[in-house]
Amino acid sequence: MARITNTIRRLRFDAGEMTQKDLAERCGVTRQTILAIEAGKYAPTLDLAFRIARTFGQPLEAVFTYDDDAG
Amino acid sequence: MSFAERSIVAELLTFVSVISLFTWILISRHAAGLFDGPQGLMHWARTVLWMIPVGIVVAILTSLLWESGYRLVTRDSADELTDERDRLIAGFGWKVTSITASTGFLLALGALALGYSVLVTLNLMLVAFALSDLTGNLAKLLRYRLGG
Repeated sequence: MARITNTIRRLRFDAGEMTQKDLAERCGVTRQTILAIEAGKYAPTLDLAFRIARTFGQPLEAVFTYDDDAG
Repeated sequence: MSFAERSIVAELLTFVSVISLFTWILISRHAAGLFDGPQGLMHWARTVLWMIPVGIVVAILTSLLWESGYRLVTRDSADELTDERDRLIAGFGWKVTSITASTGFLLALGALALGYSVLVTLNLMLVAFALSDLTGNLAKLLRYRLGG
């Protein structure tokens, strides 16, 4: 079973402990959506995934990973 | 709890209030014998015909009041209140609503096929449509609570 994992928590920490609310505002979504993505409970659309990656100045694959064996 | 979740709770509270009132009206009229006899179905239809638009107007007014009040307090713009996940969950809620309504319709037809009266069939359909709204909102709330 495949699963999308992410490094958002670490990237927020590296960005001076950016809050979920700050990230949500920069990406134009609610804080609850960031929380769900971070917890791996919601897979964002490609559009939002790119917005999150660009907020951290990272390529998409540095933020999201597609794990074939996870699950 | 997000704006969308709170909106669902507000919708559920409105639903329970309106449906309780409508159920009481229908039961009272049924007890008074208004739905009996050859004119019974006509009286039932007339009662339900005003209930439906009244229910819709109350739901819209509650939604508008709730949204305006929330924006006034939080000073959030419309774009900040909902996002793609809310729309996805809303779609899921619609699916549950549609399945419940369709199941109720089939059950009502089944009741008619088994020989139950037209009034029982119509009441089953009415209950199914009311329940479909309730189950749709409960499904959305559950999805939010599970974090998906």
